[in-house]
Amino acid sequence: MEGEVVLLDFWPSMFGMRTRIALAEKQIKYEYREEDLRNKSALLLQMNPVHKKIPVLIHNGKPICESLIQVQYIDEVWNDRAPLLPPNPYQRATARFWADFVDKKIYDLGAKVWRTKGEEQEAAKKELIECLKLLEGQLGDNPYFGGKDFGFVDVALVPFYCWFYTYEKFGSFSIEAECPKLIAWAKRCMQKESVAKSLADQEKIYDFVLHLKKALGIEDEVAKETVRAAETAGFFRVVNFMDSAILYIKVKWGILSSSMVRSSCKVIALLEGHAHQRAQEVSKFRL
Amino acid sequence: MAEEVVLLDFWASPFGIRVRIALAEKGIKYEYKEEDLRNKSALLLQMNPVHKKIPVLIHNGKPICESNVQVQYIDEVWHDTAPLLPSDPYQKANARFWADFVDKKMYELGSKIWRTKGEEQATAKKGFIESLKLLEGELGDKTYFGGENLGYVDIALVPFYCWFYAYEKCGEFSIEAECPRLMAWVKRCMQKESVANSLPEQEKVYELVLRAKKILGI
Repeated sequence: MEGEVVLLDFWPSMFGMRTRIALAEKQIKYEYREEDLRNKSALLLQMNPVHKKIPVLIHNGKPICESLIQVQYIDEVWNDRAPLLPPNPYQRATARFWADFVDKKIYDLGAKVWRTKGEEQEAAKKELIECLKLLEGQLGDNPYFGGKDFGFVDVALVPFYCWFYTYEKFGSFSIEAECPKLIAWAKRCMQKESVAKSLADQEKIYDFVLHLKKALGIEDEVAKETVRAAETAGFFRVVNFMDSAILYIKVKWGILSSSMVRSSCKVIALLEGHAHQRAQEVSKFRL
Repeated sequence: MAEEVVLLDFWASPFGIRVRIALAEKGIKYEYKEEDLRNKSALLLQMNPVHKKIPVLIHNGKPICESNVQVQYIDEVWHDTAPLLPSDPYQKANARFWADFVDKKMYELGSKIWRTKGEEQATAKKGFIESLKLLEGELGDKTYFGGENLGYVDIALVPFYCWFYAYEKCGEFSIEAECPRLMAWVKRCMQKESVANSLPEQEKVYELVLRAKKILGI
């Protein structure tokens, strides 16, 4: 009855985790395929030509895109076990509303917390906490957002839990201190095998973001100087960052002083091309 | 079975129009309450405390927020007439995907067309037309996105039609020239009473945009 189920995904993606959890809840066997977002597979581009993003669920060769749509699809096809959406239309509408709220708020605010500094970061932290508190309010005294049982909103939100550590480290704050009931809920969810097996390790996420920030944080001026100096010195070495196509030009001895600099049009053009490429690479990490 | 249905709305909102069409398709009687968005009613703030936005559908005193959630709710509660979503899970997922696509693209790009100028406007126009062309591709040879009958994606998209005139005037382009098949679909939809009665006049929307531009100083 299952047919063939394939999931195109990227290990740190909260959206992919939602689908993993839903498949695990329903005990569906599937093939997990890791995508390199800087080098997307032909299959991914063919199965999601509109957005070219993961996760993509492929059921008997047919693609379903967008994580919440995938979770609903899984719930509707495998409707004989572990229901994720409630049977009552009003409760269903409420569940969809809060899953949509998570979609509208948590990802972008979380990204601002680790990407920005100063006032922008403070504003993002404040709003993120406000949103998490609203969710706490919605949870109330229930063990799960789905009430007695784990449900749609739980699936939508819990993947962000493995990113909280990263938000906290970069934002220098404690989500648990602000939202203890929500963290208690997250820990409760983590006791479920479907959740524990689907979420990535929070330290691995933090490492991943550290590398990403480094790639983002390369100052063009420093790199330009480095390249000028390298060209002057007659050699340069290309070092791969994160085993990826992001190129970072580095002089063998380290960064030379600007007094040795002499600009080279060809080299600067090369660097500017890379800066543009780097911006494109980073945008691919928009999960 | 006394059902009380109230819709808090704003006449020009494409999102509100979606709900009006869905209610009309199902033949549901309801009370329409116009909101002044610069002076939101206590009822609106009470019924949608999270976003404080219209439309809000209130059914027997209980609020439902977000237009696509409302349309699905209407379809599920009044499930015995005019089905809006297909019954097949795959087709349902496909319909949800394209309604989500409309949500991701139309409002933001359309807003940029009337709010901005120069390069930003040109980029928005390009993105807008590309999105409409993708939708044309999804429509294919069908009468409606829903097939033989008006469906979820039709309802998600057609409300933006009353804004096309404003976009065209502000952006100095013709949507019909670029997307004739989509405009043919629009005209078919407008022949349906549920749609024609739910969309405001495009000239009135354009006047609203001109007023907004004056206030915003753009």
